[in-house]
Amino acid sequence: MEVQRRLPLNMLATFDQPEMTPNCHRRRQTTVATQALWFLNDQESADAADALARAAMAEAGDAGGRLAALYARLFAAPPSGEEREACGAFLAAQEAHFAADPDADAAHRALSALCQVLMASNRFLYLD
Amino acid sequence: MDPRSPSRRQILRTSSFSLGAVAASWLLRRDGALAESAGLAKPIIGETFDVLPKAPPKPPQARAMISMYMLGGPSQIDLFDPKPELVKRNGQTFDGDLKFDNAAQASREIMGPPWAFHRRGQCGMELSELLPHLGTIADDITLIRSMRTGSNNHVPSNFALTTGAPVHGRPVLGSWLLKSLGSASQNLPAYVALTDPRGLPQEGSENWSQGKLPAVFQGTVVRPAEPRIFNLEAPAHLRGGPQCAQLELLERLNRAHLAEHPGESDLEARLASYGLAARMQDAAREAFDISAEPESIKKMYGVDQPGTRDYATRCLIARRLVERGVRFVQIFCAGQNWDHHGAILTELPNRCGEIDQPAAALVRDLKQRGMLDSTVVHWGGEMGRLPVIQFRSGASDRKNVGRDHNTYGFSQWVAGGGFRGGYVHGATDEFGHHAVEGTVHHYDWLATVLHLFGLDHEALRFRVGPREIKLVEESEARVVRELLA
Repeated sequence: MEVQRRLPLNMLATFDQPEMTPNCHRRRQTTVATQALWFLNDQESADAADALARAAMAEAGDAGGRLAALYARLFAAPPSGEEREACGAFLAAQEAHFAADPDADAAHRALSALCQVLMASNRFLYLD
Repeated sequence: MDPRSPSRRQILRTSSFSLGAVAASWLLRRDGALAESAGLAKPIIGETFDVLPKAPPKPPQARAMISMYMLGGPSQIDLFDPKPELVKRNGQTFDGDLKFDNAAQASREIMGPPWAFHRRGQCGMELSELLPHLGTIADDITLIRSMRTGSNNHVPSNFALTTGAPVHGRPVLGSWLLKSLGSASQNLPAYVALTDPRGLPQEGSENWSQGKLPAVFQGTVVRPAEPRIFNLEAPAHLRGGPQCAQLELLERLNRAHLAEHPGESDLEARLASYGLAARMQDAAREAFDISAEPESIKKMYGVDQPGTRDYATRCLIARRLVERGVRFVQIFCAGQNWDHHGAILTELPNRCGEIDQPAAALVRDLKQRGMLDSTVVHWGGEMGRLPVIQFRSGASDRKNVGRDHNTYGFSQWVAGGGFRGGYVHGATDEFGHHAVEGTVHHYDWLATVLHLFGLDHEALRFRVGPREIKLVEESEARVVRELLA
């Protein structure tokens, strides 16, 4: 990937690629809404969620097993009772919603939407 | 695992989320996009921060500010501060003290301004022929000819003017304004940085950094070209209901996580950023789109001309943002492209040609909309330049010469927001070198801006651990009342 020092790539600029003129003596960080938009709406984010959902579906056949697989991958821990309840309700509602489209794999879409949430969550993005 | 699925480590490497601070469940609930039903609104331990509008302690004159920041150091000698003595002694040796940034290329040969000055406006303000459009609004601006930071390089002088001290890591003026006043717009970032398509300003995002203030008060930079903000549209199948459900679940998970990590303000900042992102999907597209502006307005700014198009567009966007309640907008140049150590004869006219018409149009447009009285417009750099030649390099002509740094006396102009129109303040010595009359130090400048926003620079403090930080640290700082209407 060719990157011109003075003209940061858009995605990298969104996530604080440092200014490289004359050199980078310090990394700076921001937490702004344009980054949230990336997690919510960018194709890259959607593709990653789709792929993670497919992987979880390959590991388990039911919603509970898939959720456990996702939590193991993302957080190295099983979901708590409250998380099982919240994520389970989300999956059921979204699957029902997507089922209205006969061409869609409703279970995959719902799970992918959940993956996107989990990967955008602070628990995933911040190391303790 | 599918290689497209990023690992946690990859995500952390390519993004920089470990920041900041902010608070704001209200953001998410405000539009009803996110339900109370999720039972989320647990009180957060410790103080929380938001950008909801807040009344200042004193009635404000100014409600918003647009800063056209000319990093590099526009030459006050050639643009704002005519000195007959320099014309008279052009080519002679300067015998006073000089401080050079580049000693190897230094000289003592006096260089009078190669451009003419004319009296402009009813007030008769003398301005360079390089800024013909500025002359048309001379009666609306305050020209300060006696700015001083005394930190003779770009970065320290920049931070002195914008953060109150010539060091890294302090909160900028815009962040202090957000902390104190919040924002009238909850659908747009409260503080927006508009950068040049040719590159970021020197020091990049530190120019809109909140330092040790909570991260909710940092500036948001948008792209320098269309689309100004990416990803304003949700994927088709997630639009509407599904995305609302995602945001609701995300907030619920993040709140539970926050409860286990009390006092981590960066976590709160991310919570708030999702609420704003959700609302920006509608508001930002409209705010940043100048296509519906009348042709006459676009022409007034110079959107129709290639040389001024970019800066004109950003000035017009700045006006649209302030109109929609954004508190603080900065319009930057690339790098420090007013830093004319050499080739000032060609480069200074180039820079002026890009910004003169748009900057004047911005003031005129704000005025005709009745917004100028409540909007501070600032135009200036972090330094000025020396009255002597730099970069003679053996040539007999002055084709490639420039001027070295000067932070001891330089000029900037301001308009609106309570500043006094048609007024020239302060003076430098007979060589345009040191401010000698009505000196406006960086801390005086900041105290004055705060005053116009109804804030007291003495009282403006923020506790970080055991100590307090202030925008204005100097006890001798004063509100420069002569500048006020």
